[in-house]
Amino acid sequence: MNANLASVIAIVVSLTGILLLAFENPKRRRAFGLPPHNSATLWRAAWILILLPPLYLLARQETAPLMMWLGALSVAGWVVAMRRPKSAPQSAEGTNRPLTTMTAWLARRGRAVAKRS
Amino acid sequence: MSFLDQKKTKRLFAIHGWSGIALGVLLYVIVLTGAVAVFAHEIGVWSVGGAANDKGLTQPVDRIIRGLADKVDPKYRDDVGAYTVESGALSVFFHTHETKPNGDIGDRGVRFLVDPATGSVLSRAEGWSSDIYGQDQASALKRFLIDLHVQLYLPSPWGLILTGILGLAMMVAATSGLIMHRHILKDIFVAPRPGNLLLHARDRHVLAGTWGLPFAFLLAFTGSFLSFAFTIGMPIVSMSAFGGDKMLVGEILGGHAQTEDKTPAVVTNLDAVLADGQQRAGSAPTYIHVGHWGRADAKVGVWFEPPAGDLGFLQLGFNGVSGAFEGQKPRVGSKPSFGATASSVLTALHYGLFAGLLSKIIWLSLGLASCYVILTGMVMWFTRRREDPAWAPWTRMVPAIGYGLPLAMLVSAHFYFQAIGRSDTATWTPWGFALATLAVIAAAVAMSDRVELTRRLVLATAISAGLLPLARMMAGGRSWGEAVAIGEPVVVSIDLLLLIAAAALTWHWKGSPQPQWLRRRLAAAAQPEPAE
Amino acid sequence: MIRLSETWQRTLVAGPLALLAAVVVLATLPHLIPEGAGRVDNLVLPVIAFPLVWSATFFYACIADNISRAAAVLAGLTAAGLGVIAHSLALI
Repeated sequence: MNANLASVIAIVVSLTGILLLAFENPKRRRAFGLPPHNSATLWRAAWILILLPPLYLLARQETAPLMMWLGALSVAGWVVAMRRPKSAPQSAEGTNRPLTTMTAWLARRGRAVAKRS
Repeated sequence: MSFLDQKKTKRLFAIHGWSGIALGVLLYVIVLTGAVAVFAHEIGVWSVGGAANDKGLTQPVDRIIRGLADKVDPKYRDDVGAYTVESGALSVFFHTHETKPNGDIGDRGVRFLVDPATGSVLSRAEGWSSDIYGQDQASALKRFLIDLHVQLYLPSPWGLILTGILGLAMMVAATSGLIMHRHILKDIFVAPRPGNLLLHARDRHVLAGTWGLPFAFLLAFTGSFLSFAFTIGMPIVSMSAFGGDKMLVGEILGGHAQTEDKTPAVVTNLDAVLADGQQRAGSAPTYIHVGHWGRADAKVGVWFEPPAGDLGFLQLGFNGVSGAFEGQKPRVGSKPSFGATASSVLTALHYGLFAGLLSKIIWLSLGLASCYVILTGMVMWFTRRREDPAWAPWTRMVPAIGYGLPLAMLVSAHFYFQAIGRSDTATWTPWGFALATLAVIAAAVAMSDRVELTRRLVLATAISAGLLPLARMMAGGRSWGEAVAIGEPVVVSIDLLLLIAAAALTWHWKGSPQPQWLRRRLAAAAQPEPAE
Repeated sequence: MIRLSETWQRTLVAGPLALLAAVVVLATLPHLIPEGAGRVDNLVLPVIAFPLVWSATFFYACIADNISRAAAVLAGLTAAGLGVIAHSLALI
């Protein structure tokens, strides 16, 4: 198989596992006020998805795809973890996201104007 | 994760913070320029407007090199190296190894730039290799960015020693970050929590740091190894093992332990060797080298792009007279060995060039993620001290270097395009960087409002990036139509990336919070917080 | 005699002494590692190991409970390394 294609497939498969782990991570859910979601099956499936590609690459001694898998996941995993859960309450304070802060600011201004009138 | 008591954690915390804040600025310079340098080749191609002929060493070169060999001083036929530069021209360097006035061993000889299609000589330069390549004007921008990454544009060996030390500092920061963080695995999916400035800054730094840790350590370690290898490591090792005999060590590393045979002999057909090698390697040749040109003991070495799935560049050896294949050559030494493999794997892992565009994009992202860790670490440091009047003015340092460095890099590219075609492009390119840096420092000193400073730097960076494609074309570079016509994707891609970056920055500038509003928010948040 | 504070003692041990020990280990390793098939292992591997060796001596000095003992261990390592080098050179 084309080495770069192998890397991309490995990265995508493991990233799915990381998304699952992030979805049901207890501390993440607690921090954003979501109800716990404990599923042993999901947890196991996630780890299988994460570990299968590197083990396959390791067994075939595909060192370059393996390193790319590791590099890509350490960036992609971070991006996944950085995003707040969808249903989490959005607060403007302390964020650096222009759009979020702008929306929150507009909402507050709107409320202030409504109160005054 | 932590197995340390409170006292030790506190000590590591101090080391982590102080090393980060003391060396953070330089570390950020190295990491960002390093991330960009992954695309050094593409930047080189873009800056010269693309190659009219990108066949490299897959086109006939034998007749050209043979013709040039007849023209040079026989003593320079000791070694010949040939490759194609970004413009598509063939570079052929005939040289010998001599001791420089400062005691170092260097390559001295004649370098030709030739049009591979016609065989006509474009330029000829004679002298030490470092001087010849240093005076190359067309590649000035690419070389400046690499030089900034490798040795902070400082004289050798001091620049390399400094970057080596910075590599060690980054290893220390990564390791201490790992061992002092108590809940590294529990927190690995916790997005930065809103509501509290310090906690938010800490979450951002810790999260990016945790995910980036393995590669931050790997890149710092390999970078430190590369910086120290020939400045500290090899001199000490050769002093200890060989009494400092540089020639002997050079020969051992080069694997030249063979018997000499100075009988004149005709060099084998290099085109045939290149074709044979390409068949064996299954990838494109990048460099060809002939040792002892015109002698019976001549050797040909050909370097190839890493074959699919491999990390290291492949080097194949051939007999220089018969052209017979002699086997794979290691990076160092006469035969494949653990040391040679280790050094080639570590080098490849630092460069990230082994799998074309895919590995380059991943390595660029890793570098940018590390920049984020460095900058958020600084934000955290200053947020923690925001009520201390002694530290307050320094908070402007974060936007000043965060945006100032990319801005200065863009300005150096503007200077490069203004000076291109002249004999002093290589002088003006760094000057552009230096002047932009001074302007950013002056702005940071003069403007006490951090938010306003940030906004202006964002705008300046956006303008610089947006105007760069135009500046390139006005300096005589190929237009998009011409670039597409010669089948060169790099020129249009980098122009587009610059325009996208400019648009994104402009959007950020327009949408970023109004200074007054943020000042109020900061004032509200300045009340004592329970975190940390 | 001036008595240094613990911070200063630790700074001296984790700074200059840890560096000296790492440099001496770098110079010692060529005499301990076999040269291998390519005749380069004894040259290349110590150079690769140097950043790791320094990190190890540095963190050891930072984390060690007893700073005097850490100083003694690093000084001992340095002395042993110098001994190995002297012995190898005498044999040549």
